[in-house]
Amino acid sequence: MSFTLYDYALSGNCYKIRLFANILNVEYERIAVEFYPGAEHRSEKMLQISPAGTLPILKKDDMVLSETSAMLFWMAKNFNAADHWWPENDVAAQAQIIQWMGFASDLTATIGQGRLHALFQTPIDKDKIVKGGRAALRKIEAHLTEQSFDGFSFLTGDKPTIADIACFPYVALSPDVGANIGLDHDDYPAIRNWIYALKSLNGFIPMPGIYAMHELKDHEIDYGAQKPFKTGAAQ
Amino acid sequence: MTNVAVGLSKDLPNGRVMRAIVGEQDLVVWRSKSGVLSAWDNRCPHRGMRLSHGFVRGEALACVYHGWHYDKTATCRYIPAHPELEPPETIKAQRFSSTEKGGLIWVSIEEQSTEPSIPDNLKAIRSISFACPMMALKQVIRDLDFTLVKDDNSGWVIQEKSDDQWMMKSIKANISLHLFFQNLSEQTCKIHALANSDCAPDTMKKMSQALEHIRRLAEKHYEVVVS
Ligand SMILES: N[C@@H](CCC(=O)N[C@@H](CS)C(=O)NCC(=O)O)C(=O)O
Ligand code: FES
Repeated sequence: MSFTLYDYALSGNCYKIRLFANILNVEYERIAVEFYPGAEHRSEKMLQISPAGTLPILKKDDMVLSETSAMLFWMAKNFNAADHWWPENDVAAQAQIIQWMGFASDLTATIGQGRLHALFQTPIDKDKIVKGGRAALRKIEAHLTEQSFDGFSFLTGDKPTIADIACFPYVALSPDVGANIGLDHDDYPAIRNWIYALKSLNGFIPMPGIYAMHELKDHEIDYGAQKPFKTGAAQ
Repeated sequence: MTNVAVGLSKDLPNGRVMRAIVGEQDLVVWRSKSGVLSAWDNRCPHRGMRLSHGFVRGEALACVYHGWHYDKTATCRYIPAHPELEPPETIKAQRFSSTEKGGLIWVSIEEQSTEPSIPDNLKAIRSISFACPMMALKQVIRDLDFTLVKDDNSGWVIQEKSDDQWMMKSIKANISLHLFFQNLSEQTCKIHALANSDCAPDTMKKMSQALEHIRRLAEKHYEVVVS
């Protein structure tokens, strides 16, 4: 197997790796870890694999990674991803990518924490989390708006990089933290357009809370003509 | 209230859905694959799911919950669980009038509505939300004293064309920023901002940053007032 992923289906951080692996069309071994309620990621057995005590964990022979930014980088290089994911000869672009990777950690610390609270009632400082989450959404909204003036759909240009993958899940999941606290997408048109662009990528897969756009596609109906219309189950 | 600007046309491409609020009315605003714009009550006639969570399927809007399809007259035309059934014409979402002018999407929830007034040929900048009352925001804009673009220290003039349409004009540089206010609640509002058409990307960025600056001032000002 190309690598082993210790994974939890509801985790946005684990989803980054599943998503990128699917986009790159690589197979890997998936080991499900019961994050909740078992807290298996902090069991003695798991801590011996990765003392960080977080998910996901990416393991390849003796290499153990616990930071998703490191995993995405390794995947892009190791699986010869198209150059735009990590532009090999563009140092300025690489610096921007690392910058947004740092921002992705802020998203985990705000929206990610807020969502864990919404799902599992983990204790948080709600006020601080909501303020931080909203500040983060406003920051990426402003940036994506400016990118759109140059005709760019993604964080650092006209093609996605590993930074887009890193920032995507918790931006897309922000409405799950709660309603009417400024974390819905209604206020953020540039974010909505960016999410749409990412969902349109070949190899996109959904996770709970992040729908695919094409689930209902088989029932696209042509209303040009009056009445007779296709039924999904024509015999 | 008549026609209210709810968003920029460029932010709703063909085949896309958004949510909007006009007064107390929650709306789904969507554009079909061929570009037909609609604004309906944001409630699926089936079980009340927000239609703004739905997906455009060609010329129909599909609810995300059980996949019922509504055509552009808001009539249900297809129920996936009963593909052979022709749904009764009475299954219909409530429609409101929507139109596009000057790069903005306008919705009216009243029977009578007057044509929106907006100059032609503006360049859409962005829609931006504020966590403060519209009154507080307007006060801060009236009191502004920074320069819209670097190297232009001449300041600007504000023309209050109507209650919800203002124009900020740089005194020396050839720049005007048109602001369309949208009230959302007592604590929140939006501005849809457009500029003169010959505005280059760099100036557009400056305008977007100016709006961020206005937001920081307005929200801070409001926080001080309430505490
Ligand atoms: N540094 C990690 C953080 C991963 C992370 O925070 N994962 C969460 C789950 S999504 C976790 O395991 N939290 C530990 C806990 O809450 O017990 C990364 O960026 O990949
Ligand atoms: S609630 Fe919309 S289809 Fe059931």
